[in-house]
Amino acid sequence: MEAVGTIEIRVQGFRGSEDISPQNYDIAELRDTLSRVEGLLFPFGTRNRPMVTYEMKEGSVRHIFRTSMQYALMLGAVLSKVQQTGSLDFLEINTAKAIEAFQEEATRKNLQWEISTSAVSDASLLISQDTHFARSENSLSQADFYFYGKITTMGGKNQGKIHIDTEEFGNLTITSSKQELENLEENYLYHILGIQASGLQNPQTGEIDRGSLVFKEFMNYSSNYNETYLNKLIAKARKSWSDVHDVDKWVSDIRGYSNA
Amino acid sequence: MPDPIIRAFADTSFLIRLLNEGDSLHGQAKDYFQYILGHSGIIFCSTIAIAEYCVKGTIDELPS
Repeated sequence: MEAVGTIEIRVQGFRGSEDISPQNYDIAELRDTLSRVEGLLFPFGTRNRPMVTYEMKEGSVRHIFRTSMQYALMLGAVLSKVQQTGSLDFLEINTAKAIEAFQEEATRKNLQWEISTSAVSDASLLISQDTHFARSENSLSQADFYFYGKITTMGGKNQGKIHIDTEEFGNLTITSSKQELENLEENYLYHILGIQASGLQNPQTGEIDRGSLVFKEFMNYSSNYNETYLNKLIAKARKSWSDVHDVDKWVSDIRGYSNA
Repeated sequence: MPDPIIRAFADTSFLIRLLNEGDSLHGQAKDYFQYILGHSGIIFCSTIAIAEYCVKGTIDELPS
């Protein structure tokens, strides 16, 4: 079996009275298509992704991508499932967004997209004015998140952006107001911090919509060990725990295990 | 490549042992706490563990 898989995205339609073709295909449309392909193939982020090569062919416009067979197989499975169910609710957010973007453009410009892969012969997805690929409105819920990591950049000309490099989620971009950043009393750049943010999350998969994150506050998080601070807490807690001599039994009791 | 961040989960027993100097494992709990924070680690704690701690203790006794 070949180690390289091919993904073809064919677009058909008209540009005025002419068929759409590479000769009348705008670079902005090409850019949109390329960014959607990253969402389709690499929904968990593009860090460490394999190489993807690109070629445009006639007929009307055929976008040909070549990449690792494993990713082509994964996309084939996704296309088959979407084709069978007509639903995007089970997909990772970036994959669902990419298909929704194709659907939106198909509806707006009366185009027909056909996405297929050489890795799975009968897997292809047709998107046109007659299809309605979109997530259910209730597939995302508002939620609060706590992220811990290093602040790598802060600022922005028109809107405040905070970039935090986390071990769990990679790099995250969190939107804030410029005023919130102006009012910070300390410089947090390159500090390891916690951030509380709100955003959208798929309650079924747990996946976070990374584009929806809005800053709430920096967490008063310090990873330094402070003996004085800890001793103050111990002194404060003395009264609470002085009569507890067997912690395991006490915890079992409040959990109701001792009566089981 | 940077060293991975140490991440640990503190359950109810750990919090009590850390803050109760009369507990037989208080010293060990404190050592773990010092080691993790001393290596820029992160200690997570669930709301259930905090709720259990607050059956007898108070929330302002917990490290923040």
